[in-house]
Amino acid sequence: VILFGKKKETKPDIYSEDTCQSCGQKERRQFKDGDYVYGSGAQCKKCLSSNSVVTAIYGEYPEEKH
Amino acid sequence: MLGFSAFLSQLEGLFGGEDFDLSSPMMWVYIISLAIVPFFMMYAQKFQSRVILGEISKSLVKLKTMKEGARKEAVDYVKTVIRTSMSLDPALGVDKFLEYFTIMPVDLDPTGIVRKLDHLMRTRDERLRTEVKKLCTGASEQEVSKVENILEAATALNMIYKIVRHFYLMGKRTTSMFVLVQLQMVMPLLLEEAEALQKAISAFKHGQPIGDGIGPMVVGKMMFGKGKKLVAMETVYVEEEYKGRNLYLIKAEGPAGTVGRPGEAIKRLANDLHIKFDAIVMIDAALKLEGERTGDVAEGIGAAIGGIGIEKYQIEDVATLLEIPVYAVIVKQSVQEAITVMRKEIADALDKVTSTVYSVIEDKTSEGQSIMVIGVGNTMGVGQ
Repeated sequence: VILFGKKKETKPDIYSEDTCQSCGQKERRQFKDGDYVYGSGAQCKKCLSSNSVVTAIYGEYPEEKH
Repeated sequence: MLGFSAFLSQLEGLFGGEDFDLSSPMMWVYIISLAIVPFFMMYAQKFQSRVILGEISKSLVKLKTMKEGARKEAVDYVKTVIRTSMSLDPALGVDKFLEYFTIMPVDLDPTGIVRKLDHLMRTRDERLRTEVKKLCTGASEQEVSKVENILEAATALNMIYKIVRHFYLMGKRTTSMFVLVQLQMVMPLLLEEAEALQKAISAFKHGQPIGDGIGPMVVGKMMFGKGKKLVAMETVYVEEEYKGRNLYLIKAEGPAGTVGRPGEAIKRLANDLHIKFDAIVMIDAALKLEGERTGDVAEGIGAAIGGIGIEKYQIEDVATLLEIPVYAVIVKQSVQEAITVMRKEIADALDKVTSTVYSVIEDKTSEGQSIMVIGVGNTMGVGQ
């Protein structure tokens, strides 16, 4: 950042983390409207089970360059 | 009376004695530089006031933009959730909501003030909920709670803007340096808070969990898949066994954006249902100090709950009366992080907080005892 320069505003990427209740596989994907923690998640990519639960939703900020 | 040149020649010594020459440009530079000192002694404060006014004015424009943006987002969101075709413009309702106020009870005689506050806040909440429901005809409960949260953030932004504008205009009118300097000092903090509120609106609109939701997230995990019962308004509990102990898990009912009524819940379980508790464990987000890391977990004693103090009073009241020890587990974060979408560092603390809660239960209680575990915070985007 240049001296006295304005810090650029960064927006976080929002992710939903699904945990398959059948095989325990954890998958991270982009958040979509309607997702909520402990609600139904997307189909498991490993065992193709639909018994998946959203276990976390969080925002990840891009790492600042120093 | 002496002329200006004669006056200067009297000050010959000051301006170089024998070499005093008014025709020399350097001499005039010297004179002006000396004259500037008394000039600034008289007018420096005025100049400084102008500079401060300019800075505050820029910040005020930013706040105005944020406030208007928040209002627009609120109006647009209300339009999307209205299910019926009605001609009434939601902007009118939103504007009415933004100007809504609450008069705090008199504190000249503080005895019983919490009871008064409780009554006042319940009336306020019920009134606002009715107004929002009227505004969003046909919307689901969850959408209504989202609108409520969005409107609360927009109202806070509106209030910040109006207060800053008040002091700015007052400072300008009275040219009071002290008013302006105070405003200038708090302005970076106010702008930070306003930016956080603006970001919070986006999280509320999409129903994403906020940093403050870590408490409900931990208890939601502990009660996941078990039968929940309603214990107070928008508050659920689950009874389960853990290593020979009876756990009563309490959290606000998600995924709507509410904090529930944990104070009322504890009163109901302890006083009405006569459950004898041996310990209370509270999990909440807590403000970190500058330099502390976001998502750090700490243990302590006492009621970990924010707000204006009603719920805290109710919990402390029951705990003191029945001599129940209160343990707290907190997750550190800044004010901005608490009201914006949950950061990864906070979400990553989930397992650590859960294991800390279980270790507190194991260390501080014995088999056969009953423990209440409360997940405190806004449960937006967090189910159970």
